[in-house]
Amino acid sequence: MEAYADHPARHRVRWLARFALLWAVGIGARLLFLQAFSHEEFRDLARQQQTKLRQLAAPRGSIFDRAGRILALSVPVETVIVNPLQLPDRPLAAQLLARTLEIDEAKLRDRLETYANARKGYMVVDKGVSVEKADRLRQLGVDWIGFESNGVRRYPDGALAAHVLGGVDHQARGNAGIERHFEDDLGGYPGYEWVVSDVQRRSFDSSIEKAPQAGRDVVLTIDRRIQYAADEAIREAVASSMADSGTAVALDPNTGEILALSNYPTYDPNEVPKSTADYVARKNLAATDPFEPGSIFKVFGLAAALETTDIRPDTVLHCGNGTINVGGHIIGEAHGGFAYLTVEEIIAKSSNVGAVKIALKTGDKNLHDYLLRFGFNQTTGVEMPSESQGLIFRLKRWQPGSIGSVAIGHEVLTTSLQLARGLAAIANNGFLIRPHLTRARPLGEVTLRNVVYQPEQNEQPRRILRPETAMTLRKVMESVVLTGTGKGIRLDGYSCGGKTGTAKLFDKTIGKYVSRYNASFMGFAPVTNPAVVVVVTLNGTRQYGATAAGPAFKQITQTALRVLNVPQDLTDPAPAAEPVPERIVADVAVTSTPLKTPEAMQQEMEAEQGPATAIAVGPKLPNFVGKTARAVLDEAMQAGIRVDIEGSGIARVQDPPAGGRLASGQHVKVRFQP
Amino acid sequence: MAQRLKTDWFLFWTVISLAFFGLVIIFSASLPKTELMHISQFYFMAKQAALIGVGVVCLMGLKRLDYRKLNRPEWAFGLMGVMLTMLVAVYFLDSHHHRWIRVPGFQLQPSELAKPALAIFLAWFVTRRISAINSRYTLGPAALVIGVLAVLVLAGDMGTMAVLMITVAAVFYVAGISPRYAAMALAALMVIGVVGIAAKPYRLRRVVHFVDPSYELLDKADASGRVKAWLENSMSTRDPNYQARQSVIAVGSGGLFGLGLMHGKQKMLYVPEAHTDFIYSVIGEELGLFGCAGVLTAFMVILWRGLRLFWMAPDDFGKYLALAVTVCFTVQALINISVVLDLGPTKGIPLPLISYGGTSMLSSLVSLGLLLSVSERAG
Repeated sequence: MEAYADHPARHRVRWLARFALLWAVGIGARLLFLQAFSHEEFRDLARQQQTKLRQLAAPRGSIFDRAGRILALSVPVETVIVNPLQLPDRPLAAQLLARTLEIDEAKLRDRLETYANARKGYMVVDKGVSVEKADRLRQLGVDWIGFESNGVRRYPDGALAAHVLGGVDHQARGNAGIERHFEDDLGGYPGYEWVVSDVQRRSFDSSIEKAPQAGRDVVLTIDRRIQYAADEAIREAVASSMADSGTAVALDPNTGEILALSNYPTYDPNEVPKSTADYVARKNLAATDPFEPGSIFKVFGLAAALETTDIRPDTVLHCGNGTINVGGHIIGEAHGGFAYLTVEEIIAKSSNVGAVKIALKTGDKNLHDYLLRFGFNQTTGVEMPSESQGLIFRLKRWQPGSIGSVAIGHEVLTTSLQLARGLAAIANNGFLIRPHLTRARPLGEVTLRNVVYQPEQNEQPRRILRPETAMTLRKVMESVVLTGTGKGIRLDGYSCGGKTGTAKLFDKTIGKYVSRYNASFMGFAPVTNPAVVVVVTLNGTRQYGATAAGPAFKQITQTALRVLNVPQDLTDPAPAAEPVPERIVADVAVTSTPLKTPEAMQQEMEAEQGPATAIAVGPKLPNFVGKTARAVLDEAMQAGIRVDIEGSGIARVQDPPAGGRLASGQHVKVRFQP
Repeated sequence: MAQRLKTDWFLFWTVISLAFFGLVIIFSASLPKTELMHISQFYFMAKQAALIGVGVVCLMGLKRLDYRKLNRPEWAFGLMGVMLTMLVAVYFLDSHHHRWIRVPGFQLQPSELAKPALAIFLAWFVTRRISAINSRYTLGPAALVIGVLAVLVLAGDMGTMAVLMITVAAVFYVAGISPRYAAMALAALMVIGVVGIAAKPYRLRRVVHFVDPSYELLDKADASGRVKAWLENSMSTRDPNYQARQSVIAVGSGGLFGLGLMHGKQKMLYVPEAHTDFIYSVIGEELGLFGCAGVLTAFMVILWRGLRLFWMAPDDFGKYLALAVTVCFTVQALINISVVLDLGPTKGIPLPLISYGGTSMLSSLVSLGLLLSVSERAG
């Protein structure tokens, strides 16, 4: 038995040992492959199935008026979520949640079943839940309810300044007005967290990938009290003049600060638009809807004449007894006809023939130049989306009769905002200012940190008129309210000047101008050193400019002067309003058939300038497809692009595609799939 | 003559360390499960610790016991008989799995206990017939007993059957069985194996899936797709390779040093049975390549100390007992690790000394007690 030294059995045991060792070496090689060489691949696979990227909402910035009064703010609300796979008793859970949240129990129960059957571990029960209700659920102390806090946008003053503020969409992103223009600043940057969850999607750990960055605040130049007066005035004016819509713009001619901007119909930005009418009401007419201004435009023609010809206010012109033929195009008066009128009287009485004669003396080129100087045919650059630049035809395209039409405010399209800017140059002794809506900081004691303000570079107001021209124009415009078409539009304690305008509306269905008007009044006060410029326009009324828009102008200007604390320059109260005969007020710009219909002009304008939509800006989009969520986020953060992430895994689809650009406030959607 | 006893402390401490290391890993791996079941997080660990206590007492007792006392037919046949009886009983008592006998507070798995019993039986039988190993009077009875054992174990536990049969094969190979009989035995085993696999669709599916994951070959062989449909419908889980895939992700994501003890994430129910059959994946994830290699090395140490006794044991019974115990123990460990690393189809056998499971732990410690008993009296 001891003669075993090279017994075959020992030999076979050695073979067994070698075989086992070989097996172990194989296992070792496999371990090396898994843990050393392919470690990263498996780490990513593990992370992919264990972790989900969840967005953390950034608190949205607030919007204040010029005095620091709040106009828009985000109120914290909570989203209630459950894990349907984890519910101990689904019908009971549905009952509990439905009662507390006051939602439909049967529907909730169905949804819970559907989610549970689909093996989904994350279900939003209700959004926008008040903190109180969420706290009531929290007090139940059950572990299957989850909460996510986010904010809902609130506008405490309802419809006040609705078109300035704009509104937010269901994802709390600005979709109009200031909310849209400053979306990137107001919205802040959402944060992201990795949530680690088990196979049943219960999360047990999370790590912040990037903390949310709160949105910045915006301080508006709007004054809440003036805005209120404007909103009220324009609402009343639309009602009393039976107009379709109306706008009012009040601005400080020296700084360009917009004190109030009002449109009617208006809307409550707290509400979600439900009907077409709701969407129509959201249109910011003052900035986006150009129209034929009519007689108020004569002022700008006179400015050109004063600067380029020897015409002075006391120059006497023969007003053709009612008609004039310009290049085969007959232009008449609103009411009767005039023989000899001074230039001042032409403006005061709003003589069409007189205005055309002034324009003829000025000439096509000078008139065209000056209109451009006043900033027509270009956007004002106000901080609102989709601003229209109106239309002044290039000189080459003026026909022989064009000058007649332009002189009385036809064949041109302007927005209320452009008119206000033009008038501001007359009010501030000749400087073209940029109307704007934001301030670096609020007035008074209020201090706000983190305020958005983007002053234009090299914002030196450009001189476009000689000071004496501006002063002369103001004198002429004062006579409009003293003796002319605006007679009766007087302020308590303040002198004022202005110009009425009544442009016939063109009915495209019958192809003619009809007796419905775009009735406007634009004016300033006080005359010597105007503190405020107000433009009021009523669209679709049958009343003349002074009648329809005059009272609103008075109301808005009076409020603005009081709020701005402007010293009074008149001791007398305004004379009691007395009925003004229609023949005095009448100032309709009368042309026969139009050379260019407003519709045709709109089309040409859009053809030349492109439709008034959001302009794509921002960096070129990189290609995200095929990358992991982490890589996409890193890249997007570096490029300053916002990403909406859907699903998990590898990026499969992106919208807009690589190479495209984002419109302001737009996000890239990236869908991930494992 | 009173023999001077010499304990193999190297082997002893390797075994004890592995068992206690297993306790720690069980604690970590069972955390998500205890949380899900709303029970104490020490539940599994405490139960395992109690059984380690019982097992170590058995081990110390067997270590003292002179193994030669077991070299008697009554022990060999007696233990085997008890095992076979229990296996028959379990077939009826556990009508679904044919695997566990429910005792209050404890589940007994007879197929596990069959391992030390088989080792004793093999050692006794081979020693008795060592000179006539290829006689049909040797092989006939052996085949009968072993065949019955194989079929009974197979009914519930294919993996354990494989371990037992490999042990039998190794012992007879060393004893010098002729290639002719070896081939016959192999053929018989394969028949049993094929029948066993085909009898349970889930097994067949695991095998098919391991060999042919996308059913390419199957589609060629079976154009009508009937077999495929049968396979697809035979199992509740959609992906038979799910466990293995998840466990490979766990091991791979561990890297060189692992995520740290208790920091594994795949055990969050991604890897099912993380604290039992797939515990090696938790080691891989939490302790990395070093942890895995360490455990593998420990099993290799046990193999070395065990096979060493084939040279040192004073008698044939000791040699073959040590051989059977060592092969059985090591093969089970290697198969388990291979399955976890997706090197073979899923079987359902625990990692000896480490996986949670009372019978397995008891069986392992009893087997190693026999091994230590041989080593005390060796050389």
